[in-house]
Parts: sequence; C-alpha cells; structure tokens
Amino acid sequence: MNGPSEVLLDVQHVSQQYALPKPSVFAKAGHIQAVKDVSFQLTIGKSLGIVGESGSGKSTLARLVMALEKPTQGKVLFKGKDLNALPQDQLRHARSDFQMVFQDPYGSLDPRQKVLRIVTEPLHSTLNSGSGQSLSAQDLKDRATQALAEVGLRASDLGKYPHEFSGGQRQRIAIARALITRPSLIVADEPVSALDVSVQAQVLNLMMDLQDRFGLSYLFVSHDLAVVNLMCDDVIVLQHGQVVEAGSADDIFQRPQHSYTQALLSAIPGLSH
Amino acid sequence: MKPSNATPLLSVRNLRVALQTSHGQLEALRGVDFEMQRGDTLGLIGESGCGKSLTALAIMGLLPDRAKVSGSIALNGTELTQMSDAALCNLRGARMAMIFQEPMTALNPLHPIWKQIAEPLQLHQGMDLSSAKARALELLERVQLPRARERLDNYPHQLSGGQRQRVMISIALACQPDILIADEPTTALDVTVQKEVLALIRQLVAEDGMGLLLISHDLGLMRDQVERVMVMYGGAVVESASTQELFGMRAHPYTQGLFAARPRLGLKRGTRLQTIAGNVPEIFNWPQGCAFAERCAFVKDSCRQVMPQLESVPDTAHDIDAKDAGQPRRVDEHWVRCPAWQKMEASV
Repeated sequence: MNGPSEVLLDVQHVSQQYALPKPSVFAKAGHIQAVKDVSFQLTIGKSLGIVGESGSGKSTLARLVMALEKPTQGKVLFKGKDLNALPQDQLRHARSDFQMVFQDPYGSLDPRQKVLRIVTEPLHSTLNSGSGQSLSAQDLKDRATQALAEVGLRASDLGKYPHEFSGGQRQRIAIARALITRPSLIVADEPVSALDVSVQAQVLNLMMDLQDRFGLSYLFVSHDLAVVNLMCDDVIVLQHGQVVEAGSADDIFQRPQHSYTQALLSAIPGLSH
Repeated sequence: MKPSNATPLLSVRNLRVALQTSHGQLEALRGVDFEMQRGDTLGLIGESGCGKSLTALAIMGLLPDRAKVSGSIALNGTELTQMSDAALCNLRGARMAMIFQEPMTALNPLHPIWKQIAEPLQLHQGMDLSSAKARALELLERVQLPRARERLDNYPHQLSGGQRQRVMISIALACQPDILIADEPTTALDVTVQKEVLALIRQLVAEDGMGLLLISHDLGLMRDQVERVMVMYGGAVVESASTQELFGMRAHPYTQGLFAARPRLGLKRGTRLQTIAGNVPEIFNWPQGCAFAERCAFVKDSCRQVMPQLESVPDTAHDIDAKDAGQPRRVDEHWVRCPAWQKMEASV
C-alpha cells in the first residue's frame, strides 16, 4: 500500500520479557511476557492508536518505541534505522525526532524547575550533547517562547513553576516540551485521561491542530476508545501483550471482529440507549 | 422525585462547607439541596474540585475538623450535622455506607478480607467472630466474588482491582444500610470490569431497596445507573433533572458545554470537539456569584455578583406524557441555576 519511504515507524515482531523476583534463592526466576510478537507500521503524518486494558502491554510497547527499553526480541525501526543498534551518542541525537507525552501532568514536570528549563530540556539533552552544536541562552528562550505560543501559552509563563498551572495547562507545557525539537513522532501515553472533560477537549483539539500544522505522527496509547476513534487512523488492540485485532479505526470501531474488541466496545457506559 | 409526605430517607438543605486554608476561609460548598427516598438513585456529576466528593464526605460526617459545616443533613429525620462523633460512628457502616474510588487504599493491607467484612458486623450488630465469618462468606457470595470460600483468608494484595471493589461493596452492604454512597467506584477499573461492578451495584441496590448516591465524572455511566442527576460546578448544583430529561435537554451553559465536549464513538476522525473556554477556576478565585461566569458566553454582570437562583425548567414532552396518563404535572423535575437559560435555548 505505502511505499517504504512513507513508513516512519516499523515495529517488527517485538517481544519483551521481564524477570520476576525469585521466590527463593535456589528457585529459578520466572518471567512475565509483557509484549509478545507485536508488529505494526506507522506512516508519516498518520496516527496509530494502541488500545487495551491495564496490563495488556500498551505502555511497555510505548517504552519500546521510545527506545527506553531494549526488546528481548524483534526490532524497532525509526525512519529505517534500528534504534537499538545505534551507538549511545547517535541514539541520543536521534531522540530529538521522537518525543513523549505522559499521562500525569503532575508527575511528568519537575516541580523545582521553571517552565523555561522544562520546555528546553530536550534541546539540552539531544542537541547540545549529541551533535556538539550548542544554543545560546537567547536562542533557547526564543525556541521556548515559540513552543509555548504553539500550545496556546504566553511568553510570560516561562518564568513560572509547574504548580502555578492547572492540569490542562501543564499538559500543554508537556506538549510544548515534546514539540520543541520539531519531532516527526510523538508517543502519547494516555495524554488526556487525567484531565477533566472540558479541558480534555481543548488538549485533543490542540493535538489535532498541531498534527495538521507540522505533519506530526502520533502513537496514541489510550484505554478510551472514543478518544482513539477521534484521533487515530489505525488501531491495534492488545490483550495480554498480543495484538488480537489491527486495522483502520473505522473497521475496528464499526465492525469489530475479535470477541475482546467487541467486549471492550460494549462495555463503554451509556451506549445501550 | 415522587412527591411524598413521608420523612425522606435523606434530606440535605442548604449544605455549606467552609474550609480553613492558607488563603483564609473558603466556602467550598455553597448551598446544596436535595432529597432522596428509599429506592431513589441520584447521581452527582462534575469536574474535579466542584464539591461532589465534599458533599459525600459531609453526609458521612468524614470531613476534617478544619471544615465548618452549616445547613442541614437529615437521615430518616435525624439531624446529622449536630451529632457527636460517637453517635455518627453508630450510623456509619450501619445506616449509611460508602464505597471509595481506590479499593487498594480503602482496604487494610494487614488484615484478611473476611476480618474487614466482619468488623462492621461485630461493631454494629454485636455478632461473635464465627457467625461474622459465616456472614462474611455469604456477603462475598452475594457480591459474586469467584471462589469466595477459598478467598476469605486472602489479603487485599492477592486480589485484582475488580475483586477488591467487590470486597469493598460487601463491607458497605454488610449491615444493610439505608443509603449507599459510591464515590467514583469504578474509575480505577478497566472498562470490562467496570461494567460488571456497576451491574452488581445496580442489582444489589434494587434488591435491598436502598438509596444510591453515585458520584462520577462520566456522563455515560450516569445514564445507565441513576434516575436523577445533579450537575455541580464551583461548589453549587447548577442543574438538576431526571437523567432522561437531562439527556434530552440541557438548560445550563456548563451542562451544555460538558455534553458537547465529550468525545463520542462514531465521530469522524479529526473532528474538532466543542470546548468550554478557559479552565476550571481554583477555589480561591471563585467569584461571589456563579463560578462558571468567567467561562460563560451568556454572562451578565449580575451573574458575577450574586449566585443565581434556581429556576424551574418546564419540560414539554414530559408534560404531555403526564397529561396523557392523567397524572398531575410534576413541578420539581428540572431545575437550573442560570437566569439566561431561556434565551440560550432560543439561540441553540
């Protein structure tokens, strides 16, 4: 369907095992299979939703894509490069092209840092150290101001601390931090589930606007099927670490084939009327 | 609510809660009124900080000492706000019970679950340990905990989230209370488990004929679970109606915004959601009047200065139904705390 040049992210047969604590000194350590033989592709400018219940491996998959963990088997190819085969300094540099937004806007921003430092953090850690190129204080400030403006915050917010913002504004700061390196991919792990309904709509609209403007791709992890339906072109449904159903969002939500997908859909409250 | 001359099961009148904070004394609940009879199911919906949990805690008498309660809360005609702690203890768990959001923190990790179910039975009904244990098993079977007999001696960490919430429900129901307050009982659970737990609560409430006060931020959930909904914003009830009516017609601009902002299945990919401008105000920034004023498209100066009165919203469809059935018109069905609701309806 798509030429290989259009594929941004190519996840090939990844599995991830974690060792369980040994029940005793002499016993063999058990393993838990968090993700098992998962494959998917994400095209440039498109969004892919990962749905499933707690423990289904959604967040593990997000961490694997972000190269925060090495898979026990399989490969994660980003723009054709195997992230886990890259040397540390090159990986660090490559990270500017894929960023993450977390669920909890209270836990994901350092309470002791001002917004300027928080938002420019990816520039410090990827550009300055990776390529040897460094940015002046004024450059950093300009980039941060621009990133804040893109998410609807003001330059005067740069000098504030996270506690001075509401949950929705904090999630905007987290998105500005992800945007500042102009990434091709943003991995968003339950980005709106901690927000109130009236604020959630603002953040979802913002994410869609940013996608239209910058041609971003989202890997969107969520348990909320209505949100995934709105945000994503394609969906994979995970159960016990395995993909039980994959396809276009329309197919999955209109014509679910797997019994687990059907169960997830029928469990949404308020639909039986 | 059915008009009735009998003493209501629960009557809350002009309930206000003031909190002593570093910002001075703040009024966190600003006059909540409602009444419930046995068998009524009432939902409290609203966003974080709107006062829904505070209302529940005030009824249960579980507010911190620094909270000042005024107004009236009466359970079966008995005033609770003036009651001593000891007297309240006799009611809590016996006549009124509460289920919390997070079953892991609500259960004691150091005691097997049967002991935790037996505690209210020993305390309120004077049961001895062995009959309390036998009753605990019956209760666990009633909440459909699989393999209940084997699990009596389990500790909370050995159970899944859904199983723990079943244990919480069995504790709440142990003494057959008159009223059950459930504060976001399934928010921490996966959707498929949520569905089972909600069905269980619905079934048990109907079987025992108790009153259910359900707190949630999930509109869809309310639709399935309760007959009547109160929408809260900024410490006040802004709209109150039967669930059916509310899903048909919203009168308050906040309720309208809340319904419109929900992502719903079947929306076309990329559809922009309607939003409510601004953020939920912090409690120390609440205006004298309507807390929604800053975000409202229909705001007038008077809205900021005084809390708008509750106004009755006649529901035409319902009136016709009532007339057809030869019933008198029910006047207390739909209330809204907004002076502009009629204009708004015309503009929508």
